[in-house]
Amino acid sequence: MSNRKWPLMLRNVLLLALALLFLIPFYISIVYSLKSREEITASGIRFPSVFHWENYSRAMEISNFGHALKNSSIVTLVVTVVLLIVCSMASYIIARNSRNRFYNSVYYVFLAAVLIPFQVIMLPLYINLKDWGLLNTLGGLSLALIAFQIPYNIFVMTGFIKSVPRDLEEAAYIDGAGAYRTFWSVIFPVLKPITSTTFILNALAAWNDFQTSLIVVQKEAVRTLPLTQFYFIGQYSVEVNLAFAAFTLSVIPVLIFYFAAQRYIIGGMMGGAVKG
Amino acid sequence: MKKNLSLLAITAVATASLAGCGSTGNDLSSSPASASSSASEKEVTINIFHHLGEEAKRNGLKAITDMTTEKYPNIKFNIQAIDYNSYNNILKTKIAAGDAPDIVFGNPIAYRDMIKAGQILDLTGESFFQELNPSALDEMTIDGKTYGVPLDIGAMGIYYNKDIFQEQGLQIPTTFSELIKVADALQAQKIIPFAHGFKDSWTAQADFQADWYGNVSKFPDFFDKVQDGSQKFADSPEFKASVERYKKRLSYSSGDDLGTDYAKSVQMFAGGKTAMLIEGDWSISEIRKNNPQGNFGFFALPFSETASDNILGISAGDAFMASAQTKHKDEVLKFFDSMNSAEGAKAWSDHSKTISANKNFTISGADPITSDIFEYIQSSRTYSFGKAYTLTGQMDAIFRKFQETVGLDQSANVDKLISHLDTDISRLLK
Amino acid sequence: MALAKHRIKRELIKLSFLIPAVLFFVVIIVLPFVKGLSYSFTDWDGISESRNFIGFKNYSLLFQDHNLLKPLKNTLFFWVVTLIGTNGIGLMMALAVNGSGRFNRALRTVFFLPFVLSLVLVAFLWTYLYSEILYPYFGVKSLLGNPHTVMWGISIMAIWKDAGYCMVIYLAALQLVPAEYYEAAKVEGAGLFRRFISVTLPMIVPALTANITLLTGWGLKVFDYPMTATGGGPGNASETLAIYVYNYTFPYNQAGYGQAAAIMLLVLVFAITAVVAGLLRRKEVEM
Repeated sequence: MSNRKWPLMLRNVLLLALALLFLIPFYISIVYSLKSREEITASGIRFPSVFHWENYSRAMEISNFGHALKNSSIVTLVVTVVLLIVCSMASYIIARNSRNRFYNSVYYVFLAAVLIPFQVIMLPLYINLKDWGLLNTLGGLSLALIAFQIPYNIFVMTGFIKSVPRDLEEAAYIDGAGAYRTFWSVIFPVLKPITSTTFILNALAAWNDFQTSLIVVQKEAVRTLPLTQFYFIGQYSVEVNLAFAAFTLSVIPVLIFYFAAQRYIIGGMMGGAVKG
Repeated sequence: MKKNLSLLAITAVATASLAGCGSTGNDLSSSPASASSSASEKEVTINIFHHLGEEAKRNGLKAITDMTTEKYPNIKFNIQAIDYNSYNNILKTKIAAGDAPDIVFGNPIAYRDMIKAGQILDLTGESFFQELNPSALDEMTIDGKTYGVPLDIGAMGIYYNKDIFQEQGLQIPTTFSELIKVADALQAQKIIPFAHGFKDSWTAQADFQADWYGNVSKFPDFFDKVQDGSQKFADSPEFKASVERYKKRLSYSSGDDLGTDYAKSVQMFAGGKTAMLIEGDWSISEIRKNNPQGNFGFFALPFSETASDNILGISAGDAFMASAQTKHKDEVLKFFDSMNSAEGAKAWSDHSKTISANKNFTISGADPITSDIFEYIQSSRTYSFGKAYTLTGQMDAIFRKFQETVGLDQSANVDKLISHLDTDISRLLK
Repeated sequence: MALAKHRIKRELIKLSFLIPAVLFFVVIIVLPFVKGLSYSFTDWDGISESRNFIGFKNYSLLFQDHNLLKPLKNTLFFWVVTLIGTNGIGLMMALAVNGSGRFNRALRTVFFLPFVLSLVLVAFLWTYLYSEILYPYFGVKSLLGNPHTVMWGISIMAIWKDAGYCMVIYLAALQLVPAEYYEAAKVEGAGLFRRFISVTLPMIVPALTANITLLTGWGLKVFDYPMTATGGGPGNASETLAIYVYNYTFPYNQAGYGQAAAIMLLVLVFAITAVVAGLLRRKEVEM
């Protein structure tokens, strides 16, 4: 009996140690964000003796947290909703016409585009957005983020839709429903496992984006959360406690989102990803 | 930390500087003159943009702006501090976005590209310049036009802990081999000679420059010749010797040299954990913040074996320029006025512990470290390198990368790296 | 006639499903791409009004630059190390937490956690992890400051962030393995390792393919990690191809040359991915 239990115990201990390794950084950022500067120097990562909550209020105030939160939320919402509509439609038509040479080649173009390094279009895109008056607007940022996510979304969704039986929509067609109605009332609901996953991945991509934002939204009024925190951390690098408070602040919304939606994230990815 | 995030910002910046400067430059030329008249009584907010990392200097700046507001109640200030490594990028971004701050921190020599793009206001002939030290003023002048207003005179050299030196019976070294003897003696007593904080790689550059900039006094046109292709780094035995000395100094470890940041290295020195720190004058206030009473001094880095060669390389330190995009030229000039007034200059040097660029500066009551630097200036054992180092843009980047690579890689082959440096520079000359 | 009209209408409706996505894609990616391609044949600095056509000169200069070797080596190093590390650790974690139960679910949540953070924050955290934990408590000098270890340091933070993602993909595949397979293998007396090779491995090949392809793309394009953690330094010790491109395009004001380097990077990414995908497909067929 004990013979069999030992390896299991060992496994659990090892796993807990690994889990700890994954959690330590979060511990550090919370501890640092609650200490005074002097205490960080004196006691490093030990648990704080006094909680300096004012680090958070100061970081929030100086970094214009509320405003950035609003900008990030707007962009993330626009990007995820547009992608959901546009990509599910496109993927559906591509998946259902995979023997058509035109749709097939469109698919392969998207597939190849997944590989395009951002640097290849960074400069011309910047110039275009400037010419169109979209620089320093949340609209311009959303537009760019949407376009960059399209190839991956289509790649994953098309794979999933291919596994959805055609009987469903054929029944609807026979009932006389048009293409749009068939799609939205019959197909779209069936796609929920994959759309919820891509929705979440898109939300993470939009929320965490740094590279594109850095180029498109430079003015303070339109900066998103990661950008605001970036500038803040840059300015207050000497004041490590404030920098970590800002860091922790910007992580909190993501964590809330993650824990609220994790059933869909991990579950959804496990369900849909490999088929894609 | 400083360095890390900074470079990311470049993305933005770069982008901006690019497409930005060219186009915004055109519509700028007309604006400043016309806009300035309207704003005499109305409340005006002046945006100041700087990368002063030291809190003492930030307080000094605050004191000057408060002074200005007191005198001209309609002028208010909005001061923005940016991390050193991202500063240029963010600044260029703002300029490109047509969102330039009115007053910009920086030395004109380092911003010749922006001056060329017409982004910096020509201040030639303004009355406040009469209060300034002529050599500091000369450094602000490019092609006969003055673009910057200096606050202080800076230097890079060696901070030392007088108590440790006394306990160990050590003298201020006057030649390089004496410096090495001092370091060895300290190490033998288990005292760390130099505090190294090279996680921020600019700190390693300061170590190199403290040596080489003193050397440059003998070859004032060295960097000009590098740029016209007539001087190769490999052909300068002095340059190679300077690199070798740099590597020698860096070989005295202070622990995790490459994982320690600037702030921590200053803490180590100020806390008495190391005997010396090779840094610029900007560290005085940081040292004092960590140890207001410490018995510290400053001496020029002895690079030569001839004691009299070892002079201190100095340059105009902190300086401000005005953006050509400003709509409040009059108010900006009023700020410069109070900055250069006797009270303004005193407020700055009191806070920052630096040597004021105001020609009426006196040393009485100054920090002992500052007095040590001032003594070099008064006894003319200085060389003004500000105008000698003329590399900008990619050449500057290449030269700085070289300093990092050669210094931080213990196994680096110096000759090979110097020849690569020459190759890289010559590629740009074509 | 009516029939043809009906067909055209049907084709148009089909197209209308596709057009919004294609429009976004063409305007934001394809047009700039073509524009960028044309820059690569010019001497444009990115600022001035004038640019001259100089043919393939940028490309030939590119191949003469000895400074290109370091970024190339770094990029390939990062790709290989993260490919092996992220997949290996992701697979091990998946095997360990494959199962129901609260403990397993909690661990899955923890292991996936870093993936939801932004790259900037991960890099910020790790620069402190290296200097505040590893040296003071374990005496390990920061990997990021040393030119010889900096790429390891950067690879480790990438593995930490992305291993959870690979884990989830492997979990998905593992759940498709019928329990009877294991039972049958057990009855035949196969050990743990043997069971992994003969039962698990063949079943997770699709997941392996997906992960390898994905990590190849991420790895070869790597930009954010070294840019945020070290800025490509010390010196150019952690410069990758994407950073090289970036430096020339922006700070160095050689937009034409930078764009040529970008195109070369694109070709490299496509070529390596094609080779890798080809190899994987052949393996998949064999298994």
